[in-house]
Amino acid sequence: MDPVEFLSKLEKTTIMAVEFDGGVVMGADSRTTTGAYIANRVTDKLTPIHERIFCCRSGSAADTQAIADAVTYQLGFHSIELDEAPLVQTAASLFRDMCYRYREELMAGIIVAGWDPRRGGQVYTVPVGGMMTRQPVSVGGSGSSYIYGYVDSNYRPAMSKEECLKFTAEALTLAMERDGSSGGVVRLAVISEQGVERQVILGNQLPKFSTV
Amino acid sequence: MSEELFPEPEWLSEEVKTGTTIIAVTFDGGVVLGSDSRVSAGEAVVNRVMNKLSPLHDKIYCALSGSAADAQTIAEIVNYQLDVHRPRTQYHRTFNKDVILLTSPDDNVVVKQKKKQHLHEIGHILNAFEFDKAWDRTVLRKIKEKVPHDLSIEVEDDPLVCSAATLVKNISYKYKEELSAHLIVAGWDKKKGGQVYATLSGLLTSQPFAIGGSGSFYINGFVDAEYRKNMTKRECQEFVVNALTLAMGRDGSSGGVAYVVTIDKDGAEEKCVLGNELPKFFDQ
Repeated sequence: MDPVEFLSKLEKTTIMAVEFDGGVVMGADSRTTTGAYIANRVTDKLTPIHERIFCCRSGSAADTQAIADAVTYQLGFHSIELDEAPLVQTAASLFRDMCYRYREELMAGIIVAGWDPRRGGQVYTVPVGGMMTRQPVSVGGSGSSYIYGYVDSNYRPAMSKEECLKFTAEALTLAMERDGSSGGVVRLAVISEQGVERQVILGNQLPKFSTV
Repeated sequence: MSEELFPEPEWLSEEVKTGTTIIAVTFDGGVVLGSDSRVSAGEAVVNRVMNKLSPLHDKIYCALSGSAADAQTIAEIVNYQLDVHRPRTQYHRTFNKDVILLTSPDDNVVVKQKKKQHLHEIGHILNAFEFDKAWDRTVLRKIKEKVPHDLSIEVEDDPLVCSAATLVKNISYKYKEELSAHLIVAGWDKKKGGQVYATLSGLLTSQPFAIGGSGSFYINGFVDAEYRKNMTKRECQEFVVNALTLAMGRDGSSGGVAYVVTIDKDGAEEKCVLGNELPKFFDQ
């Protein structure tokens, strides 16, 4: 199966998360399609799992919503038992356990990102199949294949929060321009010690590139 | 018995594909073409140094992708068809700008000029038909009507890139169902300068730049963001090498070395960038 065919089996989407010193920036497009019809053009694909841990969902919407609900429950319980904020790695491990155990039945590609006091901002990716790995920057969804080159060339370690926001918005815009299944607005979330800030970049405010 | 011990490798029966990355970009004054060098049959790499930039004419090249056999065949056919644009009689080069009209044997009038006459006398000219490139095409048409049918007319002019691309497109479209190859045609001609044509599945479109092959999906975002109009030749070459490197880094079917061809009014220059000379990007 060639890469575009494989990735196109995922929920038509583009999701991305980047670490910076002090937190993470997460972004997603806002289109949900059923066939050629756009069922929802302002979807929110950034789902809270805990106070400072979010996940970006791609793949079957039903599967990812069910997994996210289950993990939210398990993490909430774990956090109360511990009496402190859970680690991002814990959340990612819970996602991974479920995605791996039920890998035959599920079609879910998830990026887990957040901030915890022990390790700061972290991004973990749990792609289809159920592996888990920590990456400074991670992209996912059907639109992600178009921006691997852009992300590889433009990412630098130790970017500031504003630079990360700009980088994410530009990468998502490029993917949305090329992937018919991604589009709408760009939803961004910044998670840091102070909490969560959410932004929306509307269509006419998206960065412009030289049109070919 | 020996077949069980040494089973025939799977790749021998796999179709040979150039899972590839190809790119062509115009700059002010010419074009730059680039390609990787990997040819795969299934999971095996059967050629790691193949040059996928194939010349169609002196200043027109095409980049191959898709099935290796199909792409090479199309390129060879079009190369042959464009050969009609080559001067066959080398020693005519001394009188580039004059018209030689060979009259019928009954006529006593011959255009006389010393050098040509000498050649004529010693029998070096059998058939000659040349005209100034700046002449209006209508003159050629008028002359053609008077010329006997068994005389072959050869055009000394370099072909237009558009013509080469159209020839490629015609083959791709006619045999659309049987072939699976995508060629990008790029070159330089006097009329429009550097041009790039994409001929995927039999369409023909002129673009400032074009990318193709399996590896091109990964660099769509990169080229959209980084391409600027009116780059210099140097910037364009760097842009092509960067794009190829990024694609080879992510696509399993692209790799090896990068071949780069730069075409401008002075001709075509081929270059090969080895693996260790390729630029480095962030890699965890």
